Amino acid sequence: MAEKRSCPKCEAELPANAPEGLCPRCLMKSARQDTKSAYNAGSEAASDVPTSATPPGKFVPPKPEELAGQFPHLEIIELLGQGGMGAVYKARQKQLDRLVAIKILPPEVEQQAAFAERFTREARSLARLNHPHIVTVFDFGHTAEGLYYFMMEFVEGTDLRHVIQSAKLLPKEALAIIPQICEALQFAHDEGIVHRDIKPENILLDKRGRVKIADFGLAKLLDSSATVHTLTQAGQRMGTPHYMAPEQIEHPDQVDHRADIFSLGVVFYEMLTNELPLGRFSPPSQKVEVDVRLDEVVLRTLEKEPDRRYQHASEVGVDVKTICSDKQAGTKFSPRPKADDDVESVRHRVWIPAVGLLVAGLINCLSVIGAIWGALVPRDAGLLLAIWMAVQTFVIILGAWNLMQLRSYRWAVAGSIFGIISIAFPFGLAMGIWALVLLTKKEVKAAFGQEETEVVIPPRIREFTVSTVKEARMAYGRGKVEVQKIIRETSPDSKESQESDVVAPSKSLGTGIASFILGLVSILILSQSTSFPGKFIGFPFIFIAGVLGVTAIRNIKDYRKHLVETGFAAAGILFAFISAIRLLMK
Amino acid sequence: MSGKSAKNFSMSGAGRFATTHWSVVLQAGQPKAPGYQQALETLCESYWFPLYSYLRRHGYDNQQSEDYTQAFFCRILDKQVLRMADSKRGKFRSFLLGTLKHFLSDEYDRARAQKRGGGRKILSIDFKNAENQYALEPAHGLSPEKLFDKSWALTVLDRTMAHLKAELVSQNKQELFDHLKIYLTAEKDSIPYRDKAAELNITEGNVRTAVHRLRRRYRKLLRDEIAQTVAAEDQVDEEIDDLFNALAY
Repeated sequence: MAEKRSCPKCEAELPANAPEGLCPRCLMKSARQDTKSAYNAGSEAASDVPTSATPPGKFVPPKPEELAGQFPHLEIIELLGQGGMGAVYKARQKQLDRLVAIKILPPEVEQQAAFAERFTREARSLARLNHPHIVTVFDFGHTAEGLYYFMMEFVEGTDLRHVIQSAKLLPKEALAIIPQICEALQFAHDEGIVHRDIKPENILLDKRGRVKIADFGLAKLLDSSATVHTLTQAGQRMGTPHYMAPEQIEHPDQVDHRADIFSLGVVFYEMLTNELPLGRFSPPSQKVEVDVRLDEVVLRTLEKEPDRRYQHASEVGVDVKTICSDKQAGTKFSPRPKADDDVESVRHRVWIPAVGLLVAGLINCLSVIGAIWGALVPRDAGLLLAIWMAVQTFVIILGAWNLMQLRSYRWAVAGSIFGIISIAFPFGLAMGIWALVLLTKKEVKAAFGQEETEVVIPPRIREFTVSTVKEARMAYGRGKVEVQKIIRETSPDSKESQESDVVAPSKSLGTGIASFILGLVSILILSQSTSFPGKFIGFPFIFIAGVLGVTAIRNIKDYRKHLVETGFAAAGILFAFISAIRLLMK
Repeated sequence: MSGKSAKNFSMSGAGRFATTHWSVVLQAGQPKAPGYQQALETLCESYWFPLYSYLRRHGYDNQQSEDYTQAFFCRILDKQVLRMADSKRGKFRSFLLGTLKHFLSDEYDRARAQKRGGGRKILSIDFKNAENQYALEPAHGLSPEKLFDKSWALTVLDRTMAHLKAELVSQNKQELFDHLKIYLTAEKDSIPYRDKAAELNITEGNVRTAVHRLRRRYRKLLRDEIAQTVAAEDQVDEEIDDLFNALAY
């Protein structure tokens, strides 16, 4: 038998004395590669033998190629990072063509008592956490080879630890980030889920500057009596205890959601002062230039007794926002935490006058058009008056909208004032006065500034995040940040380069309003002069109004959410259309 | 944190290694101490082939090599050959080769070895296939030392595979072993599980699990085998690397 066979894998010649006919090199190699993690994963149940060849707690994650076989529906791209809580990989769902993150837990977890049931229970409750500021869990399970995993949304960005260290956060930036974290925490707490491991490494910031909290509930899942879990252990699982609430250390079985609030406070303090609140620490206002009222907030979150802390994460957020939006130092900040119901009740109270103002604005608008059309207005004064009316309309409607959404206080006031002087007498007058009265009330004023969740992060942080993505890797529950080169997608996906909804509203609003005004003006011009010069002047207005209107409409993705902009833009297009017809008919 | 220290994972490798053959020998330190004879005998009976190969490559014919092998083993079983240095870090493999070289350069010992046995019972070694096995090695140029290491690596693999097979046979799983052993060296996913599932009449999932278990068991057995010949846990990986390199010769 002189045939020479070669090993299919390494292509070396298979010797005749090959053990069981297998390539000796490959055999030896397969015991060499991954011997550590294979050993961890493959340890027999025999308890008289220590189960790891490596120090306990040290987990060596498999390479992407090795993981790929266990997830046939995924393309495992790269290892993003690891820590005591496991390892995270970037992957792509082949069918959906979407990026996800796969987090695998250390193989030792299999040995914990009743782990499988706890895992399923925990994973199910995590999967219910569907919130823009929480990293969503898509799927979870257990591979054939015994690895427990979570499939989560992939967040391309950086983490707060990195931001704190490198970006040297400004206080106002910190104040913009905190309320988002509070929202997320409140949401989770309402679902009965406590994070237990809030720390800057677990707070991610995506490229759009949005906060995303990761690793909810994992601390509880991995923490069990079967795990060696002492503070002195060198293993990475413990991480830093500085963010842990006192009760987490002293009586861990009595921990509830208020532990998260404590951790939040530590993070908050660190964001403001770049230091940890250890021992006898100074309040933030004594270390950096921040509003004194923040001291109260921070100190209250860091109370040792859970009962003395804020009882709800949302309260912290509201208080922070109140301090930010309320620039008048004289206004006494009430230490009693505001519940979200207060904002809700204000919303109900302003609703009617807001709608009324809107109607007044519309009446204004219609009367303007009617006046022009029916030439009720003397010709010479016509143009100027019409423009003035258009501005009025614009202010009233914008003000009404801001009032209803509790967005900009100033616009609400302006809108109310213009409502009073509007043509829609006495309706506008009544609504305007009502609105103004409400607006002078303190609680109403405070309720303003509840901004949409996406728009808050200051541009500088967003830019930092984007530039950091080029250099840094993502941290998902890691013990320390590893900064390595990231392979950025060379051609930005069309959906990534397109403006997000964050930018669209303001742009579309401006464009829509401009379209509206220009359309109105074009109508006016054409109604004034039928001769050639008029047409000549009027034409560009029609054209630009139309273009702007169409542009605005195209930029708006969700019409229902951006009714005002849509309305203005549509009106602008309509006016342009009408003018165009008049132009052609004459 | 919770105050419960639970399973004591701090039990170091020393606990396990106290029972491996080579550690026993090292700990005993000399032929009269308990455990020395038995452990060393077992080791010698397992790893005689590399010695034989070395001797043959060195220039002795097959009969001489047999004799010297036996004589050498008698010597190390009877006489104090362990040195301080060995007990600290040595691996059995390096010990054996080093001591053999000494043995060969010592005229007196070699002369004595002419007499078979030398008054001691010889180890039960089946030299029958030794020459055939040796002949399989290509004639060109591996030095005796390299050949020693390479044979050692092959011996380790042979023993491991034999153990693995024996285990599965005793579990009535020989067919499984024969069909699935290929996965021990195959590239992941290069051989679809579907075909094997059909051949073995089990589900693909079963194949996957069986392969996984087989791989795990193989690795463990290999590491155990190597552990028998080293002094401490951290030397196992080093030894695997050395043997892997030796196979490339």
